[in-house]
Amino acid sequence: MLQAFLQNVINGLAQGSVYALVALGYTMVYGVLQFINFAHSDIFMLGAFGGFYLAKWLSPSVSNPLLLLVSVILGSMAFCVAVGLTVERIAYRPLRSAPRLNVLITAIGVSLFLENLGQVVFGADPQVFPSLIPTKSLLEGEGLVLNNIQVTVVIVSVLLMLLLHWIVRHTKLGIAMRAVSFDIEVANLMGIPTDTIIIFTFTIGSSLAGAAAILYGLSYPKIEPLLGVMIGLKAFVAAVFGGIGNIMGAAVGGIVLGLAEAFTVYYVSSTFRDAIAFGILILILLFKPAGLFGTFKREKV
Amino acid sequence: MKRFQTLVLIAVVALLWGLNYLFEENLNPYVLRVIINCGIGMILAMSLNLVNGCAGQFSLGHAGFMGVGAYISATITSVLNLSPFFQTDLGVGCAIVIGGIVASIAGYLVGLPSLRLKGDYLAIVTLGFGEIIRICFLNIEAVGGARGLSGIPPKSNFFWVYLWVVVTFIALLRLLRSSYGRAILSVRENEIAAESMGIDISHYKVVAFVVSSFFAGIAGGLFAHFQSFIDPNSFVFNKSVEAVIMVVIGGMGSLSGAILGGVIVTLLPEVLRVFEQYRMVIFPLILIVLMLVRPMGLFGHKEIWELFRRKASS
Amino acid sequence: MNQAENIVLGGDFKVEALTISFGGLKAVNGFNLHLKPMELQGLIGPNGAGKTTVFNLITGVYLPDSGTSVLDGKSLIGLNPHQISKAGIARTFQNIRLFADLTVLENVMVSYHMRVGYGYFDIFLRTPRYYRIEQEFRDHAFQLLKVMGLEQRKDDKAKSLPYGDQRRLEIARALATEPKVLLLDEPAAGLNTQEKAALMGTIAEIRNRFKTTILLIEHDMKLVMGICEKITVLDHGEIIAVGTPREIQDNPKVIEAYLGVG
Repeated sequence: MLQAFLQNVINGLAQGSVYALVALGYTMVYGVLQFINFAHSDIFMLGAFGGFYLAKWLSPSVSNPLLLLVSVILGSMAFCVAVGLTVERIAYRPLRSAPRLNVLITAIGVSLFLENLGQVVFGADPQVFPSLIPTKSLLEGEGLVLNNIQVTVVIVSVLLMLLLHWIVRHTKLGIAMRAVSFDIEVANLMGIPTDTIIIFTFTIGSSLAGAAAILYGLSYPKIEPLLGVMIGLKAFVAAVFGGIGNIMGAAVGGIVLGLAEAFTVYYVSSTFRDAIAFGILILILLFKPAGLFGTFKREKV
Repeated sequence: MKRFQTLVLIAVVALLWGLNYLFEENLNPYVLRVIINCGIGMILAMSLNLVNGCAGQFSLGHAGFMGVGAYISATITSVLNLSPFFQTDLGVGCAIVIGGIVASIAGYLVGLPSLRLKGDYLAIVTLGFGEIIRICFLNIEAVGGARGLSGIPPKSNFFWVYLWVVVTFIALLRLLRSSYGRAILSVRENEIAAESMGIDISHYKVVAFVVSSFFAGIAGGLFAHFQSFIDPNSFVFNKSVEAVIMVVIGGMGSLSGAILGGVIVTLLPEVLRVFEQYRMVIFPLILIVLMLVRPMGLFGHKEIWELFRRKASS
Repeated sequence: MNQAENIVLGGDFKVEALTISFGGLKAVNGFNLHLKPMELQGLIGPNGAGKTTVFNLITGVYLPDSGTSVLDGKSLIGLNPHQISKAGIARTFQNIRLFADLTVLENVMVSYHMRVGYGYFDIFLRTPRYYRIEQEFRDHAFQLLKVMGLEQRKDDKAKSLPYGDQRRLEIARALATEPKVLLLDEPAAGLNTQEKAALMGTIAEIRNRFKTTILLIEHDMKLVMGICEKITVLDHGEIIAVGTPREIQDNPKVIEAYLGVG
């Protein structure tokens, strides 16, 4: 009984930290630009494939697994940043003053484009993500499964989130980003270069998605071009759950969602795993629409 | 006036009947399939247009309502074994209408939360509802679960599909050209002003959802009885996105635009077949470019015939 | 719809101790007002004094923390904006809120919806009743547009109107709800001198023709002093003076509020 409970906590944490990293990208872009970056999920997917090819290319020459892991993560992050900034520049920036609906539809268009392009380039069949570090079980015979991969996933996620926290609180750009998400127009008047901040936001969001993709690949070594769809939706749910635009909320939301899923799979049924996220979403929006840590702005009449 | 309308109606029905006969005899089955799919697309686009284009409530869960209509009607005709009546044209028609009614009840339930949510939040909640509906079908073994439901009587032919296109068009046009339609449009234009002019905006948002999901359910029923096979994957999120794209291409709020959007979105993948695997890459590119160069869609809020009228008068 | 019904004088409107705070700041505090039938009163005060907030409280856009609001003996507190509109209070908006993509005529016709005498059945079958009532709505709306001098532009989109016409359409649309009390929020903002003079005449005409009580927020002193019988002055959410235009003009508190001290 207790073992099963602990097992679910472990599984939930590992899955939840991936959600949290992806959710951070959604929430930061929403905070600054007030739109759902649907393409974020596909940037995650591209990160997984970027890492996949990079690992294939590097693994013959790099024998140290830690070095390999770090370089693949960094490589994937860099690749995702490149894609994220390209999308921002080409598709989103021209629509900066367009109605929000148009931006939303463009984001959906970009998302479809990346997914379908992925199917052409990578093929629709799942690929096996290389195991960058050999799996080692850390607990034996207790009826519990805890391996070094799960630990790595959680540790890397926590490190990245701490780094993000520091950036947002203590660097000039981070503080400016918070100012922009508080009120973009006022921030602009105060002389904050909003375009720079938006680029900065996409950089951080995409890089986190890149790292998350590798962590995902380590734990679920099957990747395919539509990989991002469900994970992206759930990460978005996590962001809404925590209060969209709220960085801390996205992290907490991701973890909570991961745990909720793990318990649903165990105690209810694995087919309802995907429904639980949306159930949570609908409940939270009905009863606390601003999310756990969010605040709602009153419309000025 | 009344008599004239009745005559037109009879003429339209006769025309559809004749065309149906003509097409089935002379057209290549592939072409006929595409034409019928276009019709289903038109109904889907027109119905979503009421919520997204006219009431200004952004819904991303339209496939869910289509799924409800499809599953309910197919269950009546091919799972329950109620009576041989439900194998006939008329019986299938009744089943499809029942599917539409159940879909509109689902629309009512989804419409309620929309009263408290706006914009992106509503989009994501409707998306969530759509997915939940699909996951429910996935888990109901009686309708085949993940295997889907096969052996549905293939009764949706050109005649029935296009009869529903006509009915949907007339019903929605008449709704919009009425005081109730103006109330719905005023919600889109400015909620606070609408409320201050005595419009119960909550009520009209729900009305838009209910009417819209009814016709989405009809489209689903027609789809099920055309393909004669459905599974939960027929109603995934991408199907909802497709419906949104139809509405957006045509122009939000334009009924004739939605019809055109339905045709374009159904035809484009067929036309782009020459590009083989790249067609699904080109398709979203077209959407992005459209948003960048013509953000109001092809027709904006206008109906196609209004464009011509303006030209003539100026 | 019948204008004869409006001859029965209504529009006795009384607000007492209306209060609301936003995040600890009292935006409106203890606001009192009594409008007698067919009275024309003004509400003035410096920017940010809380005038529009008073309108939002009266029309139910905001729910007051405390206070009463009674129209012809009926309490309006806690009603939705659309219910308050049906009860007989209409308003215009300082920052114009027209139905931009509807035509001028349709903008006015939206306001008739609360009295629509046909149902969904009539719509889908286009019964004679549908045609009759739609025609009635169109005629009435056209008459109203004539009063406001907008009849030439009835088929234009509201967003295509020049600024002054948009302000007049706001008034026409509010009048179409056949209000007992009409709240005008800075109707002269952005108008030139001639337009303002015409507007003064129009407001007076509206009151006599439609027998409505009017409360007017306005920055233009000449306009307010020229047509209002009584003026309430608001500063920092509180009433600092009430009286006839002459009394207000000489009130030192009012002068202080407007000129600002220290």
